[in-house]
Amino acid sequence: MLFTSPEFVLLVVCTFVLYYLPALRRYQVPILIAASLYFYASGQANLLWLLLLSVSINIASSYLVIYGNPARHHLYAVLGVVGNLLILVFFKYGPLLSQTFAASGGDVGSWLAALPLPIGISFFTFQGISLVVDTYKYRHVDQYRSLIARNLVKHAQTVLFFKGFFPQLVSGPIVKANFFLPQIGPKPIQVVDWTYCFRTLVLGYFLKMVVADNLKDHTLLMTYPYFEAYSSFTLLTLLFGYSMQIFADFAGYSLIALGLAALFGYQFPINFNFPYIATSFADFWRRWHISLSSFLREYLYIPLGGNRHGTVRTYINLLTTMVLGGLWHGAAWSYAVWGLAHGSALALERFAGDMLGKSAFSGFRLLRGVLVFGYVTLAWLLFRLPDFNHVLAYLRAIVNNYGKPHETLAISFIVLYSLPVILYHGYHLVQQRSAQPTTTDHRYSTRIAVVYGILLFLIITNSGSGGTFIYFQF
Amino acid sequence: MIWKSILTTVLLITTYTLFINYYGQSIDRTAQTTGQRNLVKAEDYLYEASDHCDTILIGSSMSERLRAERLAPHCYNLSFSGLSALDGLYLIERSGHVPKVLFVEINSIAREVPVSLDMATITDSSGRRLKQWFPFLRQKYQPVGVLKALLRDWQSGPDGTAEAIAAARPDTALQQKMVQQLYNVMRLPLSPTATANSFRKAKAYLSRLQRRGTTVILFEMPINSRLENLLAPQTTRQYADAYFPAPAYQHIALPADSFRTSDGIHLLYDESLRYSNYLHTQYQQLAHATTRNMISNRRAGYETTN
Repeated sequence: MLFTSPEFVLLVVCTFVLYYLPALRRYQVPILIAASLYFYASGQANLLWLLLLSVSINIASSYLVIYGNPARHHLYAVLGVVGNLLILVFFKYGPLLSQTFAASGGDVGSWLAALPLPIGISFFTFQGISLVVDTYKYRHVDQYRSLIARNLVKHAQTVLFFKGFFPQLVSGPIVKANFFLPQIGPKPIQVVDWTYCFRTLVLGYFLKMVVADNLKDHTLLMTYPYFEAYSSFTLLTLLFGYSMQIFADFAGYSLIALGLAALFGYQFPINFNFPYIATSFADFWRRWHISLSSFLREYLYIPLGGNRHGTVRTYINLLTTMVLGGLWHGAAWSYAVWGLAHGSALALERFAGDMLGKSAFSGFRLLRGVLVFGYVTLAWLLFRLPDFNHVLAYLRAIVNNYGKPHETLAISFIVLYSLPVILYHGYHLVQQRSAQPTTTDHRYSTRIAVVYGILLFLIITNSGSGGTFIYFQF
Repeated sequence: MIWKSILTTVLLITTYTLFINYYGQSIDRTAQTTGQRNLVKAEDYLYEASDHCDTILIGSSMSERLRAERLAPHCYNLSFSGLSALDGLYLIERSGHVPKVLFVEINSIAREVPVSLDMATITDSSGRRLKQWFPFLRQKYQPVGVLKALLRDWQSGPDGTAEAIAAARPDTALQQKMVQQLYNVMRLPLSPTATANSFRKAKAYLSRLQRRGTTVILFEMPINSRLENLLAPQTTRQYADAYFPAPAYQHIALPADSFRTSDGIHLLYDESLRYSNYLHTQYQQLAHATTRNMISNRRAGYETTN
């Protein structure tokens, strides 16, 4: 069930009505759980058991960490994390590992390759790991302990809700347990910030349905071998368009998730903070898919040692974290290469900062911004063309095809549909530098209302062809 | 703020609806992509063409280039790029329209593409009702596409695109690469199960149409001479002969002369005109032969009676 489908809208409306009925106030969390399970089952009913298995592992391990034998708390936590990872490795990376290491055409490899990839597995697995690790870390903190109910049924309900809540179930943001669990409780309808929900949902659906879905239809030209016929400029424009598309698709989805959660009184962390104005790679990763980068930092980079064990070890930790972060995106070596590309950029940037001093790069903001954007955009090629030979062919075509005629129409559409993303980032830059208009500024609020009215009009009249969110495949 | 936004949206929709009502008919070729062109074509068929076109042509991107107006009067080309004749049949059945004559491209029948989300959505009955009342919901009237059409017509005239297509020359190096790629694919056997399944589906659709009075004429699109006698196309012909035998189904054979393509399977612009004329001639002959048979059958029946 897509967020953009009429069935989903109906599900949200029905859930909303039931959720805020005074007579059903006590059952708010079970209502959301039921809606979430229905949402997941509508896409992959045969894999609902996997979600429930994953939830069960988390219920058991987090409960035992708090209420089990104190001498075994560490063991329970390790088992919880390993259990989560085993599910992820088996379903997601089994085919890749068997292709890489097993004899070709083997029965096991074929069987693994035929396994369906559960939607959202990367996301709900990471959330489960976050729950187990946070429970272990804060097991002696009274405020956190109180979030793990003594009553196992109540605890099971909490975990099922935390992992299965439908706005973030299949594509994030990855919500940490210590952020979400304290929010669980009765929600009166007065908590709903309607303006926030409206703006977030309209902007999210606009980025997804108007920008990303239309760009998707045009960047289809980036298909081998057809792209070899296009000029260098066309190819660069297509790549630029894809960069805009992946942002609009993912940021749009995240905004929809935030808006939906807010409708039910829950807050999610923002997942994108205008990443394409970043002037360094470190800054980029503080702005792009923030929930993933903060998860990797907290649960992988820091436990590996972070920057606490010398320079060389810091670079190794950085590269390891980014390669694994790349692989998280997909079970193909091209994603590992993508992670390595970003890890290398981060390491090089750190090295340059250590050698030359951070002040050496304080100027040239625009140039740095362009370089970071250019590098990030080039790296997206590995997402668009998972076959590495096709990536090389694309790069060769960019270099060699300067004499070919341009695809003027495709270029025009890509520029047009990329404009909202450019304006979105540009507006934020301008806002940062100028005085903030007060909320009582009538003309400002009218202008904003008109803008959202136009966005809503375009959602209704100018949406691209329906399609899943790019990050659904992760 | 929310109410102001909603009011803005309502005003924009009202203004745009008035604009479409007054100027919509003169705005053409608004599709922004190939996929959208398919949807615009499908919607035009559902909301307009099915009322006055009694001859329909279905197939893939190969027959999309054929000129329907040269084939027969009141002919509508319902071929879809990237899809197959099965999609055209799906659409005709969902529309409830029964064409008098149906031209079916056999090349793509074996290529069963799952019915796309959008094709299924536009044939959904509640969606269709909405789009009949609110034309601005149709793909054809997307504001960006309309803007593109207006700018294009202002710049180069309504026939500018056709002239550009006619003048375009194929990239021979890429053409050879694509022919080779197709060669590698087409020399492999088709999956017997999948192929039989596709032809069975097509036969089911066509039988239902025939029972309601449709004349079905099957034809093959010419492809690069290096490819036309490979295993896959030959198998497709065999399946077509087996599932759609004469005289129940009429066939137009490939002509003896060859046709030039841009990439191995898609005819060049002037070649598509030439082939459209060929199909027209063959169709005329089939129509005359059918009429002669009908007359001689009636005479035989009259003589028998008398």
